[in-house]
Amino acid sequence: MFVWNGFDYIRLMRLGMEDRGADHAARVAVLGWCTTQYYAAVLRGLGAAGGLPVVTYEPEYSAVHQAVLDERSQLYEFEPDMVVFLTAVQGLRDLLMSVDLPDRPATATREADQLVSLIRRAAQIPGVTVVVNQLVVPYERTWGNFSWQVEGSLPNVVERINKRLRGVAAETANVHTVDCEHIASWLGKRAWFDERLWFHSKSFCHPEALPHVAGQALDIFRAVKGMGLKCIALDLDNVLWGGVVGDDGLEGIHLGDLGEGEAYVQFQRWLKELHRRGIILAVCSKNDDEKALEPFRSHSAMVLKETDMSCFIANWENKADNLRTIARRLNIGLDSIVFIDDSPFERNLVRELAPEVCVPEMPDDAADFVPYLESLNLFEAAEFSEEDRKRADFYRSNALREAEQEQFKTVDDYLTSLESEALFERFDDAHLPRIAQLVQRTNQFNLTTIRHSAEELRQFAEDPDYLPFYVTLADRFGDNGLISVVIASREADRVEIITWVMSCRVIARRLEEFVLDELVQVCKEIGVTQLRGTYAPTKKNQLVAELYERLGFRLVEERPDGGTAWELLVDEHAPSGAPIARKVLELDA
Amino acid sequence: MTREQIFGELSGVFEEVFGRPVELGEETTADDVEGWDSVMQVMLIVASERQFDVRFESSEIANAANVGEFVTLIESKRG
Repeated sequence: MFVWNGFDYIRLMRLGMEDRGADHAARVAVLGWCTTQYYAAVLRGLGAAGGLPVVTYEPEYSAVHQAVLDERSQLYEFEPDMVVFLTAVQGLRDLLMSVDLPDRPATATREADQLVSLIRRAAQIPGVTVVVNQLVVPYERTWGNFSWQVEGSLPNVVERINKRLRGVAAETANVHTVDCEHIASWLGKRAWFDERLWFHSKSFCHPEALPHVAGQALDIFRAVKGMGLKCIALDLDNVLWGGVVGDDGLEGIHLGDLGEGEAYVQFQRWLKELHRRGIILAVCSKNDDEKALEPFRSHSAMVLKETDMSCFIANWENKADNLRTIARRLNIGLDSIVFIDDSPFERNLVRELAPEVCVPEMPDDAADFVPYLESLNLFEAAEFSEEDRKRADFYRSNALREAEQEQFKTVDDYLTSLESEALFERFDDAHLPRIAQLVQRTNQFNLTTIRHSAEELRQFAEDPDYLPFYVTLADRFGDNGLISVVIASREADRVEIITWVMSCRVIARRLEEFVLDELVQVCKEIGVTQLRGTYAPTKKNQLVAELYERLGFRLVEERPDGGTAWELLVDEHAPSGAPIARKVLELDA
Repeated sequence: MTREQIFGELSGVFEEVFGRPVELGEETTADDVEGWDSVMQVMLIVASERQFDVRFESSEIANAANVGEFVTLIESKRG
């Protein structure tokens, strides 16, 4: 995968100007109180370079209000997947400075109110992700350092508006902010603010900063769509510690204490922090297994433990093959792995043989690892839930299961040995956020790919004409959490499955058979005789094209777009015998 | 840096910005080059600043009369 490694904004802009997008491109509306062309070009350039083609729509200069408030405007006709609000603190600054100090907070509140109402309106566009650039705190400090003590000072007023924007993002699931203040301070505000370009062409920042600002909007989009990076595959020698453990021995490697060794400890702390967030860690090292494990088991300065590693591969095979093994064992795509290795040879080999993997260049000095990797913003999050925190554990148990599976003669023997237990329950409030996440993100095991909104899902829960169920799965290796959702609607003696999704984590566990058994049972209880289901093909859900056939449904309709409709007579369905026990929900007293 | 060298490097800047070789002469103006609009003008300015390690003033950002004049400007800034 493409990694934004340099600052060649001119090359990106040109690429963006040449690229005219494609049919399947992400549709991005760029609305700004400034010139939008430069940003839009860099956005398209980054999209084209990163395998996520982007087409943009930009209304007339500063016509943001008209575009958003007039429902017949081209913005709505464009049907954007993402709306970006490009704020320009320079314009706000000019407005604020025309107002006397006592009136400034009120003026700022009024401006913020307007902006927030535009954001809220745009967020109602079906399926849209809204990205708002937070303002960069102005460099003008009329009172010097004391400015923060003066209520109407520019830094104070702007910071208050930013806080408001973050508040809107916190309470609106599809609104996100780009922290431009962070980007500006990272690059240096003197580089960010180019007053000449603001006066001449209303550029909100120097074009050098654009790849960061636009890139992070795309990072957010990827995160929202579940296309973000999930796993870091790590080399060991000269990555997690200095030196070569096989040659230098446990006592000879640099780790801990002062100087070089401390840089590796800091890198490990950084990785551990990502692990806590739910990023999966894996080892991909050329080493003897035992030697590679020794520091994890016996070195007192190791921050990362063996159990933090969801998959541990140390051998002498080529690393592209090993990364494929990691992807298979964890059941994730190669394109969700980032590979960290100090050797240019290994990095290039992986880029050649497994081009889907994200392979950042690495600095020579371990002390530069964290600042460099942070500058790439590899791990954007669209949200953070309990489920995310546990994710690394899910994947670790997945890899253990995968390794054990090799010992069993038949898959069913193996599945039975797992002692699986599942919940099959009607939607409830506590589980709605995770249900929404699964419905929003699942691409492969997804029969109809209808992206129900959180509000719709809540309504299903309360509507007696709907049968909305979530499914969890646990076994002796660990808890997989909430991994499937099935929503059916009832009409007279017929029930139609309108949505059925399942996480890739639990494919090939016969869980779909369990779900059908339970659904049939529900149908019997409410006196329904017929169950219907539809398959609507997308680029990604080939996996379930034959699901209904496999489950014993009868084909009743074939559509020109390749879609199919299926039917099952409830009385003719025999229980599948899937080796999963239904668990009963224990309510807290 | 001689005038010829500046011309040579400026051709490189134009090629980088326009994505194709651009014929540059003393008398070339924005009207002679397809796509040289105000957006491209800013890109040419920032790309030239990077290439020649110079900084243009606000009054110099808008179109120079022709490429020859622009080269003279760069020459004077580099001293």
